[in-house]
Amino acid sequence: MDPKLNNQIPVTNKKFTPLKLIRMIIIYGLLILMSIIILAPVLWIIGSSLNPGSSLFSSTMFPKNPTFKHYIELFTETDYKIWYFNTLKIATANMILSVIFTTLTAYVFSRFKFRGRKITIMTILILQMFPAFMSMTAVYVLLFRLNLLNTHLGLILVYASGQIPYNTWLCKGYFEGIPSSLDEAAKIDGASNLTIFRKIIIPLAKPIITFVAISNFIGPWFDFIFPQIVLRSSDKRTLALGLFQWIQENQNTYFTRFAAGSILVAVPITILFLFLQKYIVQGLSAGAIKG
Amino acid sequence: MQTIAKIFKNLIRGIIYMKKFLGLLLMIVMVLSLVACGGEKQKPVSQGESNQKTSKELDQTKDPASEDTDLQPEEGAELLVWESEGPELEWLKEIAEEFESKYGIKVNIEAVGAVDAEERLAQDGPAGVGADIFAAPHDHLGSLIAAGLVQPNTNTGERIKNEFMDAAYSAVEYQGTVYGYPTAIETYALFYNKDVFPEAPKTYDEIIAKAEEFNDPNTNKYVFMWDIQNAYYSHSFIANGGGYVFGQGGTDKNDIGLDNEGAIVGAKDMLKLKDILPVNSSDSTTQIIEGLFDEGKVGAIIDGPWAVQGRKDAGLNFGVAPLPKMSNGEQQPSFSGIRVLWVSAYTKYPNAAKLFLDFVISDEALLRRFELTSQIPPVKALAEANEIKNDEFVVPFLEQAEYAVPMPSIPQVQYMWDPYGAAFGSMWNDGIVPEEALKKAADAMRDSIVAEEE
Amino acid sequence: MKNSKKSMALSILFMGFGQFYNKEYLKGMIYFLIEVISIIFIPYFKKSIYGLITLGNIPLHYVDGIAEGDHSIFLLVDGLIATLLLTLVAIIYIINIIDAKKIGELREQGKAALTTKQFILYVWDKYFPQFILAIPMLFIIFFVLLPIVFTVSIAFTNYSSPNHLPPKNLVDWVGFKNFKQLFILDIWNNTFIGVAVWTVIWAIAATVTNYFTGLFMALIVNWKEVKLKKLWRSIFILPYAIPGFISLLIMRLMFSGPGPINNLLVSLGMDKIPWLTDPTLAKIMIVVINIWLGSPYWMALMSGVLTNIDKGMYEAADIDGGSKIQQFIHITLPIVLYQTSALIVMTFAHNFNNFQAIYLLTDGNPVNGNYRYAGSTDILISWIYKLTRDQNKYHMASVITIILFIFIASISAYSFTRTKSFKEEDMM
Repeated sequence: MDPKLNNQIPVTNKKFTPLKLIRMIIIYGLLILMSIIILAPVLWIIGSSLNPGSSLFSSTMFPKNPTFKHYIELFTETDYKIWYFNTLKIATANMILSVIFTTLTAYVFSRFKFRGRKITIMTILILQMFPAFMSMTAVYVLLFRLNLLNTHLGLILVYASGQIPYNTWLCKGYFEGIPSSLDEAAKIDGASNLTIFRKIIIPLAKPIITFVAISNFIGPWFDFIFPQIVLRSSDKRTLALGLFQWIQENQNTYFTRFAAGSILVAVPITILFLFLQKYIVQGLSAGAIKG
Repeated sequence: MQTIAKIFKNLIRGIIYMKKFLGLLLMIVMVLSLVACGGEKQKPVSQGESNQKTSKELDQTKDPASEDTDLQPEEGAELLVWESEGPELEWLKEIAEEFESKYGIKVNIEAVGAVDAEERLAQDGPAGVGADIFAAPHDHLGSLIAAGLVQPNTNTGERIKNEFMDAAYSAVEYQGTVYGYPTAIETYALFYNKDVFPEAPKTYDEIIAKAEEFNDPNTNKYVFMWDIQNAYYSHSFIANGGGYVFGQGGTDKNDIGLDNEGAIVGAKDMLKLKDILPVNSSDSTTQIIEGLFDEGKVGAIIDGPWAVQGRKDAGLNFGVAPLPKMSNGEQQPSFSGIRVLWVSAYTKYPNAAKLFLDFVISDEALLRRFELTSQIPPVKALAEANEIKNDEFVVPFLEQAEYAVPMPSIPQVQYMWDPYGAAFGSMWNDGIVPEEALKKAADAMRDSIVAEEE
Repeated sequence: MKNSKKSMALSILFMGFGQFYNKEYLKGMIYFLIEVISIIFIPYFKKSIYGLITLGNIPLHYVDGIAEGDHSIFLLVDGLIATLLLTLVAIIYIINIIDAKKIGELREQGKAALTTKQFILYVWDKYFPQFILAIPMLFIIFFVLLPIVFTVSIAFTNYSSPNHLPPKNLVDWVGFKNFKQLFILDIWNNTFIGVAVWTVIWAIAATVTNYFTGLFMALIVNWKEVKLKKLWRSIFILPYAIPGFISLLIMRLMFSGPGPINNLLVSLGMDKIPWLTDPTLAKIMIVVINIWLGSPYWMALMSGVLTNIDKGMYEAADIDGGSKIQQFIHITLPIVLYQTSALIVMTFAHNFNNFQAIYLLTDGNPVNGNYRYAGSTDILISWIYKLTRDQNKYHMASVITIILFIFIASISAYSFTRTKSFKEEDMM
């Protein structure tokens, strides 16, 4: 900033005016209000998991006789642990595979001119919007023919394939922000395409890659639709599916256990979010800007 | 972050080096495996030139009297059974172990919800990965047969006819052939808070009278609640007046009795309860009424045996009783459901399956099931067993079962739930008169039946 | 000239021959193998295509107590897979011809002077995109495209309960009959129109509310003088981290008649409000509750976008005496809108198909006696779900899915062509 201008700028940001005080009160007030609105249901969810009965409904946020029974039940009476590990496995594998697919594909789309480039990326992006319901049967038969039914690999492939369009587009946008002069310089030095990819693009695209990795890690924890199709036996089940089966039937419903199970899912994910806040924000906005 | 990035990089590096010609090669491999596997799995889905040699068509009119009494299990038989998660699953596992030690046949039990089994089997069966035996409620009978998913019960039909309750027999019999193996009968009844009603209310008038002193909408206290827009429960009011779903004992899809005169009478009687339950039907769903009941804010609810444990866990002082009598002095007839185990049409081991099921529905086994699940066995003799006779939370359901009507099991029953439930909703919330609301529901069903693709 | 023509002709004759002629032994071998395999599997292709056309002729019957018969839907999928494979083979065939011709030309131009290894590297470099894209494209074709083609095919069959449910019964092709029914038959079109209109309103409302709420939240959290930014951001991101299914279920109970919100109102002396039971209010509440769920995503996004805006512009505006509000309207808003336009489109599409939000919050309730199998708050996608799950009317569900998709796809395609990255020429 030009030092000369310093003296001419009204020093409203240094002095403590009444207007400013009011503004800050309003802002903090809003922040607190929004926090309450956000936290209230969260606390309610936690409270309902402590309900001794089987109903989630309770007139008070925390039940009169709270109990940790349902959390204990998760580990003593159900296969929750197994599901947790299954989901962890699938989530991690999906994360790795997705990143590989996505970054390579995005690299090609962003750096190379070839016929049908624009049409292709737009087509696959739009195809992804097709509602997946009815498609289940087709995926079922496909996996059945490939002998991948009831395998985690099958599920991972389904996830990794489905996320390619959107995440590729995100990464592509970001890659386009990396100046191609870097590429050219490297080419002059004799680098191959893949070397450029490895040594230039990837390091500079860390934010978006982190974002893609995180969202692909989180996805499998919350999805119960695809596991229902692919996985058949209870030892292969994932968390979301297992939890959902507890509340599907008219009878035999274990809503409170479901709540407990959901909270135990939310905890590590929340912690993950908190730690990687910075990258998520960067990643989200990066995709938006270059999009 | 650094190490993760490094791992990524090395992974990518390794894969890229491999990838040089992997693109095309992999395509070949995929094509190969796709096609090869496609070639193998043709057995249950064979085409065109099918083996017509010894088509032993499963006769729909097989005489139930000619039973298989001496079944020899197939060589190397191993069975897969699907049952809902919960105590019934645990019971099956127990029985399976006993069976294995006695006959040497391994039986694996998987948790698949009884309501979902039919849909699953439709895909898994032809694919060869379906269960050999599965649990599904009796009202799926019609559609199971229509989809060709079950085969007849050829070894215990007689026993079921003679020793099981009538409702259980009719639930598994279709046009003269017996199909399933019933394991429990259930219906819903009245759960009442003993602090509000020291003695179980016998009529709705008693309940309405209590409302004066008990009701307080501002604190959500209502003397009586039930899941109004769930046809499963509300139909009982309609049935009391003389309405029915399908005529001829639930088998005639062209005779729908939801909007007949009796039905309207029953509906009007039900609507009298609106005064003491001034809530929207969406606010009277099971989750809510159970929650409020647990908190002592509701005097009585309608619910099923599966809800007994939850109320005990909540520490409530409650009892169970048959449903109250309505204005015409008649018992309110609830829907009854029979839990059934079926043999899949796609099983490779039909003999072993039937042998196992015979073992499973023995009196001892079913009594043990009751001990674990509190679900009433459908065997007449067992009603006298001490465990059952003396359980205050079981006897009322048995009593109510005498007045219960089984849910219809023809495939068209699936058209009923939605429109019928919507009718109750509109009658209760929007003040639509029963004549109109019920007619709409019945017409919706009639239209759907007419529109069935031939 | 001669080389390339000859190698092209050879490749037309049999895949790989042209490559052999061009001394590309490895590539030639691969093409050759592909053709050989394809020829070996001609019976498989024949059978599958036949199955696709007829959808089975032999219904379920028993042979020695074991069930057998044509399963129409399996046949349909198998047929589609075979068709896709054939198409792939055809594409490879064409590539092989073009490739042979091009390599031939390259050789003529003297590039053959390179050693084999160098030549391979050269080709690898030149056709790098195609090589890399092969695998992801393969996955997309089979895991994304195939299911879509399948769903579209179903709309032209009579796959439904109770008379056309495999495995017992066969399914047949019925042409455009289902489409006609949807638009003509009263049973369907009354519900369809009502549900469709609400779906559009919902999608727009959900997108707009979340967008601006998120922007608002981001503005506040990132306000210069605010302390503890990390704390606020952490709290606000919570709804995004908690599984939607449990949040929605709890919200449903919280806003129920006897629920805590109403209890609070009563304790303050007010009347209970039918949040989720009045058809109109329920629709509004769904949008409102969805703000809780969805705006954290936008807040995070906006935070990044905002921090990337050039501060110089604000300072210049301060000098010129612009108020904060003016700055927002003339600087912030235009930039933000421009940056995120593509995302708005995608979110709109996502909300259009947002099954979870409706299913878990209201399950389409309040019930509506005038609709077929749909409630007052059902959107197209949740209606389709009910049609498939409860009524097994797969054919109608497919028809509605297609219409839904055409709508979304056209809007998206149109919007995309106007976004930055599409209009911008390659940034090479």
